[in-house]
Amino acid sequence: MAAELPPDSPEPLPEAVVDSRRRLSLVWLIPLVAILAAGWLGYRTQAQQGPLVSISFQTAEGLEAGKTRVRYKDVEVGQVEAIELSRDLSKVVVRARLARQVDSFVTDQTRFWVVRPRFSGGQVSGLSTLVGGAYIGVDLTDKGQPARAFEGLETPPLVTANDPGSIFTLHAERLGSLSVGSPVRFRDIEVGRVVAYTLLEPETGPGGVDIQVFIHAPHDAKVRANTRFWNASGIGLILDANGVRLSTESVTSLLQGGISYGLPPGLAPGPQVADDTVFELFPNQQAAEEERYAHRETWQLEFAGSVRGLNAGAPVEFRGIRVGEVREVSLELDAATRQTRIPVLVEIEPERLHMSGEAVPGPDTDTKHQLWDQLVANGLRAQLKTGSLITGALYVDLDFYPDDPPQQIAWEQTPPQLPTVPTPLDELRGLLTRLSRLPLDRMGEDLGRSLSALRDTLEQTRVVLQRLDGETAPELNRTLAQTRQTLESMQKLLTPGSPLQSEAQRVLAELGAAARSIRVMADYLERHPEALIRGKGANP
Amino acid sequence: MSGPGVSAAAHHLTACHTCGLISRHPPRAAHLACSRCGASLHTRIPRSIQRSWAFLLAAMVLYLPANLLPMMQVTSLGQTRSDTILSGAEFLLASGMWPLALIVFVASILVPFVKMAILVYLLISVQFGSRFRPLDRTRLYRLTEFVGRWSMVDIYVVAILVALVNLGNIAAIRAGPGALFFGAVVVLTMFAARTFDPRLIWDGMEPTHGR
Repeated sequence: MAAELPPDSPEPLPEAVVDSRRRLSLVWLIPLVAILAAGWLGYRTQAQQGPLVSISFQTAEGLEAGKTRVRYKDVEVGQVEAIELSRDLSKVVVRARLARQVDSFVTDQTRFWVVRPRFSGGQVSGLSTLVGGAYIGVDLTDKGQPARAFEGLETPPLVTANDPGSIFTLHAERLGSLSVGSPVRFRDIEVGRVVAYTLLEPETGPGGVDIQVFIHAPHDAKVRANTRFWNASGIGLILDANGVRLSTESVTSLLQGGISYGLPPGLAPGPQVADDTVFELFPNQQAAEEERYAHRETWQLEFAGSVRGLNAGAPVEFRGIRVGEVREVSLELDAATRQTRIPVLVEIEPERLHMSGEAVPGPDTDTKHQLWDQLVANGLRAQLKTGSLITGALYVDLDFYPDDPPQQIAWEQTPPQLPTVPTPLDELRGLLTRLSRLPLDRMGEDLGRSLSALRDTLEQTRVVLQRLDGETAPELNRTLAQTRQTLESMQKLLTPGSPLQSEAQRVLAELGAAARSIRVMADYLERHPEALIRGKGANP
Repeated sequence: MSGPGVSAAAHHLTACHTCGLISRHPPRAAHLACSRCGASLHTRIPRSIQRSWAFLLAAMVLYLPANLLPMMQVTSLGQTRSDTILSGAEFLLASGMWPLALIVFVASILVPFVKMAILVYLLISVQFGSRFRPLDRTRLYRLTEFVGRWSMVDIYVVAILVALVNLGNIAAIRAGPGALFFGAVVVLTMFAARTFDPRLIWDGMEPTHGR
């Protein structure tokens, strides 16, 4: 060994000291830490791996795979991993990975929508996405069955599953000026919103529109079984038998439309109702408050004359008290007899009658038939009357006409037909018809001619009078003066003590004496008729 | 293959790294100290292969998250995009900046990977006492050690950008967790390269080689 050392090497080299301490190889901690770190990362990624859901949208506007986030209450709960087209290219399918902690809240009632800047219903939403980009909003709920495939909403839902409150369905004839987002008010306080509406197919049901409203807690508790909902949109101008009415709600309602609800005055709150109860939506507050009686009977009326002015909804009154309303006025033509008839369908609310004595008869019972028959026998008749002179609207009046010839209820008709009496208007109309038959034209002409003749006559009379005035009057004056003189002289003749009078008195006395002697002679003759022949004998 | 000559280790001679004293040491002795200054003496870097393997394994483990996690989060006008190294290079390529993309790809993906591959090869070849082209293997080692530090370019770029671009929502850059792991990978591979003793390559060429 030493031979292999370099030649200039000094004397034998010193021995190195053996250090027998063992060294721990700490370096292996490094890969251990690395493995731990990487393993922990891997585990965390795996553990946080939530459900992969697919959501279909109409459009992927603003969405980007690997970037767009899924947010719940603006907290990120997932991320879009892929955006694909559906197999038939009709939709966009977005695949999103959600966080594990929301796994149990992803059910078939979970809703997804894209949050974009939106201007609707007078509101602006999603402005933050103008800068930050669109994201997918999610409404998580633990109700329902777990699901992984969803139909995305095109508009954000107005109500999230965690909002306390209730959803009710309102059935209406038409939507009116309502739209999704229209407010629901209780005593003019906004307590909810219209969340959806669906058009009902007339084939499958009564037709119309079903409107879903969400009412926030605690106001939803104020919705009872007898609560009325009415459309509080815009201005209502009503011209009917009750006159002219203009009804407006608050200005905001005017602009936005809306629904109000409440109890009709005088009604006690009914029992609580469940979610999804169906109510009727009345067209206005008045209709809602009138609609108080559930039980209605339909009757048919047939009027002889015109029904112009009688509209559906016109009141049916008994001596001024409302007992129902007109439902329908239609025209029927009998094909066989070529005769038209106008059946007027009315709905009478028998509950408005407060009966004393026996119980109120139910529908279609014998007692009810008996009752109505009795009423009609007593003279109950329907009549059309004018409710408003301004509008000419008619209403149906029920009253007793005991003098009317007896009639029967036509029970065989459906609905049964109540007897009617002619309208006072009809009678008036008959009078007018007769009046119109008068030859007014000719009468006028005649009258004109007569008047001109009369005028001529008057003219002549005036001429005559003038002459009378100018010529006859002085003559007449003279005549009168002479007459007075005559009368005066006559008076002189007749004054007591005048020669004529004394002469006359003497004549009269002579005449009396003559008469007496004639009477004596007559008496004598009567007793002695022979004296006529023999003459007057000596007194016996 | 190897040039003529003999290694110090073959003569059981070791120079002290502190005072330069050449000592003779008994064969197969594990822990030596200098008789003059007391510093630890070793003919080769102690447990070079073992330590090198440890660093290398740690680097390889961390290489996965370094590439899978986002390196950088860029917020531009409120829109945040986070890029891993690969997606960043992809983005640059898609933007038409292919020279930049090439640089990023080479410096951040290719270099660490090649470095680890070379080290693995060197370690395995040394462990099995390979006699295959020791000169080329030594050149490979030198290349590894030289090029390794350039991988840090990425980290520096991220660090500088994070400091420079910080305007809130308008524009901001944040380092992602990937940067941390990537930095760790680069540092660990550098350690692995440093702890690897290239003399071990040549020890294999000795007729009776030992550690």
